[in-house]
Amino acid sequence: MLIVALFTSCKKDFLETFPTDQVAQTTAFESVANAKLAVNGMYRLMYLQISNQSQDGHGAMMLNMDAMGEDFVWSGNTYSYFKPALRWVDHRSASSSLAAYPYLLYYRINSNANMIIENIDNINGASADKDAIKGECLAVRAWCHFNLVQLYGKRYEAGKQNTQPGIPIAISNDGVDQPRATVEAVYAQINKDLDEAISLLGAAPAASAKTHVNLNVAKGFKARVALTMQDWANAAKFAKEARTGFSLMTNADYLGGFTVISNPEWMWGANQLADQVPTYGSFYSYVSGNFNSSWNRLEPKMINSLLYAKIANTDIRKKLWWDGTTADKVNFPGAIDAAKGTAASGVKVIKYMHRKFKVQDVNSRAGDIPFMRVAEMYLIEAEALARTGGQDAAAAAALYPLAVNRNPNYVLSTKTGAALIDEIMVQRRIELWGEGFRFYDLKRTDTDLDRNGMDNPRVSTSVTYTDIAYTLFKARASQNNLWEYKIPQDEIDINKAMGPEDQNP
Amino acid sequence: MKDCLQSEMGTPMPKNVTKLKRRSYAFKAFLVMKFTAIIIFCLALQVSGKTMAQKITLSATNASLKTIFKEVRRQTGYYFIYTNESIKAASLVNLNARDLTLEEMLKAIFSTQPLAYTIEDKTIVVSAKREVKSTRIDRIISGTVTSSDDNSTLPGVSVRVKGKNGGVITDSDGKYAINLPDGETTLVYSYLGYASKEVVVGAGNTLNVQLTVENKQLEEVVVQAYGTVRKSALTNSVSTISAKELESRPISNLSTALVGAAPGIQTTTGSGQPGAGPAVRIRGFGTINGGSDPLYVVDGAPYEGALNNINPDDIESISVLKDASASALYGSRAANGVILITTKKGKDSPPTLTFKTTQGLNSRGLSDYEKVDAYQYFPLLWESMRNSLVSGGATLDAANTQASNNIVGSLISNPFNVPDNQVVLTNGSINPAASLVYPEDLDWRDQLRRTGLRSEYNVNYRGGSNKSDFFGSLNYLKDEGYSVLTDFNRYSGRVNMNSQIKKWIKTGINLSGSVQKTKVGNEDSGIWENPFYTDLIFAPIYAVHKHNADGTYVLDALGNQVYDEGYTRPIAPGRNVLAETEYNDNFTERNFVSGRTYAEISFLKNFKLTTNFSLDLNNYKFSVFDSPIIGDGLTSNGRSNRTNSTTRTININQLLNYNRSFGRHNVDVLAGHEAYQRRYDYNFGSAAGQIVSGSTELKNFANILSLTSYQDNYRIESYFGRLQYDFDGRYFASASYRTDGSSKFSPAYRWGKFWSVGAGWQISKEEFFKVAWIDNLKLRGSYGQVGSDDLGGYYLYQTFYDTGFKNGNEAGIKQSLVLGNEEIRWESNNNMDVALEFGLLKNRISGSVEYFNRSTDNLLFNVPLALSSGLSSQNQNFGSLYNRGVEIQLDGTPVKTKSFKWNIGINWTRLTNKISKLPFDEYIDGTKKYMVGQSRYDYWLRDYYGVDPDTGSELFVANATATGTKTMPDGTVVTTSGSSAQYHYAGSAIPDFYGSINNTFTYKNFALDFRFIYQVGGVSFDNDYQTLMYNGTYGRALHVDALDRWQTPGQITDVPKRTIGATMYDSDRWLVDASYLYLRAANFSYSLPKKFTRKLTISNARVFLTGENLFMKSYRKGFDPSQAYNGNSSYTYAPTRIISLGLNVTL
Repeated sequence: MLIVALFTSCKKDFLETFPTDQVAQTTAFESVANAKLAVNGMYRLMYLQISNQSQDGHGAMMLNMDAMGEDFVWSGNTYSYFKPALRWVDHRSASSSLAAYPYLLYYRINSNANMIIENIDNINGASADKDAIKGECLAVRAWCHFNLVQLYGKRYEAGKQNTQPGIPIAISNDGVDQPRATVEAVYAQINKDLDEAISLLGAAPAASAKTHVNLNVAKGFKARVALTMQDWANAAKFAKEARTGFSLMTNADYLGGFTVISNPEWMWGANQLADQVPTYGSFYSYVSGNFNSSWNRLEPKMINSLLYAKIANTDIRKKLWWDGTTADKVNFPGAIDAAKGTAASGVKVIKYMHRKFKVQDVNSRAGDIPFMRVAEMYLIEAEALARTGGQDAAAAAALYPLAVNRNPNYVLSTKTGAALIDEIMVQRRIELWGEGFRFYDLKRTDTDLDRNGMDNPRVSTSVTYTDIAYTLFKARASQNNLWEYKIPQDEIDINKAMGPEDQNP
Repeated sequence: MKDCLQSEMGTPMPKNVTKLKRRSYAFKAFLVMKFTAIIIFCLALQVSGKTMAQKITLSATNASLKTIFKEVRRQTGYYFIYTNESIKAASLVNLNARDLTLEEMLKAIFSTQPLAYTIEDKTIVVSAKREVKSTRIDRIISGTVTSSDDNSTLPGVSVRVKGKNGGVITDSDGKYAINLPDGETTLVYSYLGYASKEVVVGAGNTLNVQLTVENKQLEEVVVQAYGTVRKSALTNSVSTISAKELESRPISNLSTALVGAAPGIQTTTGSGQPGAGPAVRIRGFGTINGGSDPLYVVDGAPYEGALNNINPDDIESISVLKDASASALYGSRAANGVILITTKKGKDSPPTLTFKTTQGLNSRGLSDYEKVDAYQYFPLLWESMRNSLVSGGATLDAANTQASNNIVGSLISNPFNVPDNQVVLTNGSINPAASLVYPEDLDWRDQLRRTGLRSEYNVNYRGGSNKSDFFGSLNYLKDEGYSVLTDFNRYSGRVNMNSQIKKWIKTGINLSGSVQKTKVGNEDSGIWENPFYTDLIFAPIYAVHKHNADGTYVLDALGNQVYDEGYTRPIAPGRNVLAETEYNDNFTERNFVSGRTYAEISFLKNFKLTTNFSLDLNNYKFSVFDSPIIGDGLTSNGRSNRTNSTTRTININQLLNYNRSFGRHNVDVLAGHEAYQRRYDYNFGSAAGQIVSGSTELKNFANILSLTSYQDNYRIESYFGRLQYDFDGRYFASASYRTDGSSKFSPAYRWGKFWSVGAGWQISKEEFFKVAWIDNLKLRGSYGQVGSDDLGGYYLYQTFYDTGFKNGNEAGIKQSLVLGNEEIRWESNNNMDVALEFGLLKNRISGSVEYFNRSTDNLLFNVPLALSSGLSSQNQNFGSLYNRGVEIQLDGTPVKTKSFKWNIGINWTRLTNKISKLPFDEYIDGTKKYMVGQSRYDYWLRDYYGVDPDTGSELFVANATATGTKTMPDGTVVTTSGSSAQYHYAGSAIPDFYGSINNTFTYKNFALDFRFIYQVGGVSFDNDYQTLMYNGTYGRALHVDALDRWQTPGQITDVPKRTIGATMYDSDRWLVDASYLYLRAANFSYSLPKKFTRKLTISNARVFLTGENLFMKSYRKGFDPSQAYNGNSSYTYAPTRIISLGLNVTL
């Protein structure tokens, strides 16, 4: 052996080494099949943890958006997760992880979409397949920009030039840093991408799974965007088109198995499997009524008592939250000890706690996460019509199928004007509780955040609601700057097209 | 003591020596040991022996010397010790003497023998006068040889007649007697470590001689890259640590030996986890994103395994190569210095067996932060609550009452014997009647700690002949941490053999292995199972166990105390770190095998061709089990992780050496080729939902959470050469060149070129230099370029998609966050080094002064990308920085007498670190900001102003856009809002200077030495203090400084008013002076006198008492400024203080 070693010299490819768990970027776009893998990876980012346990993909942003509202209520103040959003301080600090998180998340997904959009046309393959892929990615890119512009830009106001700074429009992977575009320009890009996506997806074969954006979802995006732009006609139009082919779930499903992607109401969501959860965290570690995380066990989340009072007694949704009676308590065991199948020791059960979100298997923190449901489309259509003016009857009619599904005793609304809008908004708050809409809704409708007046209990009587949230009231978006997240300091520092003057006031 | 010993005890000799010689060395060693036991036994019996005054009568004709000895023994009770070899040449004895004293009789016996003798206690030691052929006694010259160093006598000095072979050796008292044949005039005295001396014999027959210590430095041989070199011929900066410095320290990880060992070496405290060691930096911080660790080379091959795989007792020497000239031959990985570790091998000498054991006690080596007790804690939190109620609109009286009523409800604890609403009175003071019901159970720290035992056993065996040598060792170490359920266990062994097979070929093999298991203290994982965090942060009011209403312990069915999960506790609800430490598993295991072999072929007189082959194999396993009973595992009904990795490193090189002397010119040329490959295999599995209790293996869990594996390959190929030249031991020059190809770079930029030149001038050897008090003066300098390819990844030029990102059930891949770069290349480190070495006053003072300038260009950088790109960074070469400094080493012997000596060694390093070029204007990284002109570790923090005497609010200097500001009397515009605070550069974590002080005192056979390390200047961010000063969070412990909080308008204090839930901002309020003085090691040892050990036929025996991490003086009690180079110190497994007693015996 020594003699061999003595005269050894290295082979030519001795210094060529490659990893075994990564593939070259060029390999990813060698074929349509590989590009599809890249599409799947892009969706996976929507429920992948970024750097800490309150940064679990889009699910964590859903929690942040409800934490910044008034309907999703904390019962204690021990755990710090999502408290930065709850207390309305950190998103105003450029160096905070809350300010950086959505920026990182959505631009990361966006970049994966861009890679595919840029490369897909150059791959040899059936154009129908390629168009479908491109359509999905364009829609996802629009969705990313839409989330971002709502957080970092001042709200869109219809009927004026929205020249206020929005976000960098990132539609290329050429490595050139982009400045903040105006809110107007960002929405223009979003609509351009959505229009192209709708056109491409309209001709595409049906998506393989609800984890993918299909034509309906793209139209749902379009409806959301239009609603936020106060473009009532398009909001109503696309919301209605989007729900085509979908139906509402039964009341039994609502109480029993709402949080599964096979639910007929789900248009789009994440299908998280047991081996796809982070070591700490996950959406259901925080929001589930039954999974035995210390957060769920010791501080169950509640609905604002004021909102709860607005739910009709015959509404099935009244049963999603504990009314505090002994009779109903059996439905709210709280976190389940997986080994025993019964309530975990030390579990807290508290009035107004929910059972809306559940894991199917209490051994695992994994669960499907709803990103878009049919109910929302009814609500968008109704709200858009109600806000159009002169369309109250149509609005009431649009609301009716959803409302009567939830409450068999529901009678077609005869309200008009502000009263009707209010009724629709209440329906929206109840229906979409915990699904990440409240902050966006407050901002786009220019409504104050008002947490006063609730009489929810706390797990520890000495903890007040001031202790928990530090703030009970924030004036509406048009009256102060607190509704804009600060641009992350790293972006200001690194992005060559941005300087300190580009920071939000 | 040479050869094998025999003792005359008046009884027949046990067997005989020649027979022994045919046996294996091991058997012989065994016999020697056994023999020793017998001698000890006999010595104990011979108390009745007769006295020296006893008169002896002897009559013999042609008697053998042995017979004579026996007779003397019979009459006096004195034993003889001699070797068979030595009395071989003895002539038969003819004697007729009466009533002589022992001394007179011995003189008479030995006058005709070629033997010398000495009397020690009751023993007569006979030694040879080796091959003295002439029996003709012309003159007998006798005398004593002493050392000029301390006037002590020197045993074993060789004395011979000039021009003749053979001679005598001085006895244990330094005495000698030698025949000076007629006509001869000169005697030569030589002794290892001393200059040989020739003395012309005068008229007298007594000649006392003093030998001078030779400058040891000049003779020292230093391990350098691919070979060794005389220290005197070095043209570069190398510091060495010898086995002697390691042998009496209870070191588990060899990097501990580097602490304070030489100037320019900076170390952190290192974790107290048994088996852990400090991080090492040589000459500053040469990079920003790249690796900063030095390259370790073990017995000639780069080593990337855990340092604690290697038994420190196996180490012969450690060389630290600090400059480019020393390290350029390791080219690509030498940018941060190189540490060469050479393990022990056999010697051309009779075999020796060394046994060493140390038994020690482990405790925490750092004091704890001073915290308030339960009696102080309640009133402080009461005050927070009261103040918050007042600011919420309550009247003072109402707030006082409400706070007294509610404080226990908020803290969810009443450990006192008074009702909840009477713990704190409405005047804010603790109820004088209150006393703790179960104070012992509130002390988490006491239950989290213990005194750990550290036991180490080491046996090694070495020897050899002129053809072969061998070394073997076995070691067992059990090191229990002071944190409960942590320890380190290691078994290791080594065999190192070398043989000169033929005149032209030499080969050898060095095989070692170790098996280790570490129970890990949870210092890095989730905070509530981290005992060090809990120790820090738990208020002293929560019980470890559950208690009944009357304060007694709740007991389970078996009568055991029950842990309190604290479901309602405002801090760590549902958690109990003691329960989790007990129920969870957290351990690592390593199996390590390492082999080195070589063949060395000599040809054409001056040429030598060597090939080296090395293989290191390291299996690593990390097992974690989170119990379903409590903690993070509760959530998923138990969780288990297994990480397995295998690292295989192969290094092959071929070296061609040419060495020749032409008159006074010496030339040494080396050319070589080397190939290095490292393969890393990683497997990880994680599962949740334990099915049956008792088994923590993955298949006993319901859900697989993660299952993954990958392999990485890293390779380097190199060609290199070196030329070393010296002229007359006065002028030295060296040059080296290496080219490396690394698999991390693309083919176009793969090969890097590294080189160095160096020169030295031994001024003190010049004819013109005749300064009596300067013994040694040498000037040397070097310049060179080395490199680094360490940016963390193995494929820096490639851009990837990551596999394994399924969307539900559909397979998926995603973009890697880091962009590759086809043009990325070597980071280059340009090193300049100039030094003056000196030895003064007979080398009583020696040392060196050295200047270095180490500048790094083409910094390997993870250049951050705009967040809107959706990527994190790109691998680039961008930016420059430099480390410049001065190193001083001073060694002296202030006191030196015959029996007492004091040596002191001081080293001092001053370092300037500056960034000179960056890819961006500025970049904030946590508490630091990188900017050109700043150092790599400069703090960028909010500018804290102080506490407003009027309101008690925390004040910051306001930034330009702050609103609602206030102007203070000194004109500073301040704000109470942390988010409107001005940031500024608040100091550097890099100290002004650092170093170590070593003292050694020897008195006769006693030695005491201790090593201090120190650092002066620099600032640290005291995270733990900040944690303990957190204002108004229920359940968190408080520092005693919290008692100085602002209470009344006009009060001047540094601690703000207490409130509940105020946000605490990082600011320079938490920066403190990072200076420290640290007593890292002390050692008191006693060597058994030679006289005694000789009787036991032991060549050496020593007992020692040592201490590690004994004492630290820093800015604040409990604060460790040397925890991390970036200055951010926080809770962790603090260093372990080891007090141990050891015994070292060499046969």
